[in-house]
Amino acid sequence: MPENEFEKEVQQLFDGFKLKPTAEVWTKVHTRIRKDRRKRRFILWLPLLLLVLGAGSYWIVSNLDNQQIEQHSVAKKSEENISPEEGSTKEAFEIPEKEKSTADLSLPKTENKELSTKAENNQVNTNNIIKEGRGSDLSPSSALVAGSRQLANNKAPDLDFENASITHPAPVVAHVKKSPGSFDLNKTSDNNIIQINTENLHISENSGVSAYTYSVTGTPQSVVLRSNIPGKIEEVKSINSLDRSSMPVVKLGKRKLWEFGIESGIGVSKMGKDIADLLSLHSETDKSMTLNNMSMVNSSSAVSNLTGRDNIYVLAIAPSASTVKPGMAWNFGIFAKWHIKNRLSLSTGLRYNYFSTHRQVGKIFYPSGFNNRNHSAPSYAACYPGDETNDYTNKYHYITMPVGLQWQLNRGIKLPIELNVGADLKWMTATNALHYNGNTGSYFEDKGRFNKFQAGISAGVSVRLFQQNKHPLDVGPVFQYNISNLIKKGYDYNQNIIYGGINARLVLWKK
Amino acid sequence: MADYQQLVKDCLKGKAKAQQELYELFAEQMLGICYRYTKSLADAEDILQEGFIKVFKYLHQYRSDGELGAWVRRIMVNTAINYLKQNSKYQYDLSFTDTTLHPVSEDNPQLRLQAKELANLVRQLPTGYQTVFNMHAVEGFTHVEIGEILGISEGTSRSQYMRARNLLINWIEKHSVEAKLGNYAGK
Repeated sequence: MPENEFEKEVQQLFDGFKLKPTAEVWTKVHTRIRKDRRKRRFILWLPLLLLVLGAGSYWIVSNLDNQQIEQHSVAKKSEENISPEEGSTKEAFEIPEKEKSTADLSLPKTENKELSTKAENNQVNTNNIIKEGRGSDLSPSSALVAGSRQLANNKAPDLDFENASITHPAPVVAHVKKSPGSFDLNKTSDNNIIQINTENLHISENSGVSAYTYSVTGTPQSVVLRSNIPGKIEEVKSINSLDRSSMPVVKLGKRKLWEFGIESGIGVSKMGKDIADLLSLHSETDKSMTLNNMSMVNSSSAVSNLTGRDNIYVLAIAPSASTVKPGMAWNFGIFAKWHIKNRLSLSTGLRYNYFSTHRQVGKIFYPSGFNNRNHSAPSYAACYPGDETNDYTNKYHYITMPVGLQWQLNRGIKLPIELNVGADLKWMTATNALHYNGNTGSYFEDKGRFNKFQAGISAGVSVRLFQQNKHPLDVGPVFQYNISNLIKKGYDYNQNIIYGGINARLVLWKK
Repeated sequence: MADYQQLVKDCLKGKAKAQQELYELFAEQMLGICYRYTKSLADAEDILQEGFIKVFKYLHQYRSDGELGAWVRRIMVNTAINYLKQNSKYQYDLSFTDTTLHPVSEDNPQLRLQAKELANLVRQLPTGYQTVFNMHAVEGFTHVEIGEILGISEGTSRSQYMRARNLLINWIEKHSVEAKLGNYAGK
């Protein structure tokens, strides 16, 4: 507030004070506005982009898998083509049934694996692999595969140590690091080198009986092992040739029980009378609404006496309501997932849902001139007479709190597939949806007719991509059905929102 | 009160022509405001630019029952104050350390100078004085409001204002004398 004349004069003087800005200012403002607009558009398209990215990544991952399989088969072929003289042929390690029995060194049958190695002219029936810590779910410590190899050097009739020691002097142990899932062909090109293809391999010498123990963590794809008795034995063994079913599942780290992340989805929403409308193309609500309107006509004064007789009335039937067509729907939100068991998890979160439907209506006019003959006297916000030339979008905005259970259908860890079932509580934040008035054949807005709180159920399937990644992505189809009526009691017709679409969940962090 | 409803609607629809029209409608007046709060025209234009970006960003919040010009003006003043707070060039000068009360000058010199000349005198004040003077004398904020906005006490605001006012009155009188002398010299 100006305190005296001075301030008043200053105010008056500055009121008309104008300066012309340079043209550059508007250019910059305009550029920024457009940029912001693009940003907003991008945010709107983000869910779709996520889905496309997810699908693309899935395609890449599956292609990579195919390539690996091809490489694997090529490698196998190459391995088979290596001559026995090089000491690493597959045929050289096949275990003849007879030799199996001779190499069984009184160990329990279930814990022994026998291999016979034919290196050059030396035949060795020596390998007994003892695997400890069997079971499908092992701790890292118990997951160690311990095997001992005992050389039946004294008993094997066809073993010639003397000869072997001449041909294979003092071997050297070398580790070959290998990433999980890849396949290498290991050639024992150097007679003095033991090549071991595994993530972590420990070799220790057992005193006395020329036995060796090795332990393996992870899931080795192949182990090519040459003899480690100095100058005496050469043996090459491929783990791929072992019985896979007998290998324990190895756990690499502590399982994380909680997952947190963001989710979004895009799809189609429609109105249905019950869950059977899920797959029908038209909306049953139209029929019910028309019937409802018919009854309204009966009870109102909107009838015409066409015959002139007092006791016979013909209804002035208003045109039936236009069809409610499906519209676009999308959602985004945050979620938390708790792994109750290996394959069972529980999730919850908070989500924004947008549903829409379309229908043909007339041009808008405001209720002052609207002849309201409906006994319920709704507070009309706007009316659309039944000219039905304009497309109108009924929009429904919800804040949803979903709760869901996920059950992993397959046992695979590479591409887990989950069955999702759930329920949710919805709170309608806004809508502009229209109702139909059978008396006047017009459409009108009346927010008071909607149930603000609703409950729904959902079901779907999802595939987890990038399972080994820090940020896995769950993508899959989902169907939702609102079990509670969208319309309040007393309006005699049912409307239930049905949604079908694709949802994506990106895990941001695990705990 | 001019009816800008249609213009606002078109702007909200993203029509570039309407946006430019709205900008041109208020840009000159708003630059005058920004000019009073800054020391250079370049800074004033920066504030104008930021202010208009905010105007278009929050235009959906504008209620058509209010005066659009006043709404835009309020955004510009807020943007200017934020700019002064954030810009290191002004931060040192914007410190309010002088809390002593200054005697109120009872002088009400007749303003025989142009708006731009007065604005230039205001801009010569230290930034703290300049800001408080603009906010109180021109925008009509109370000292309590100024204190809340600038994060100072009401007393500090009052003190700064009085000092700014006294300084300004001295300068105006000096300016008038010089102008008179100039006129006589011209004759």
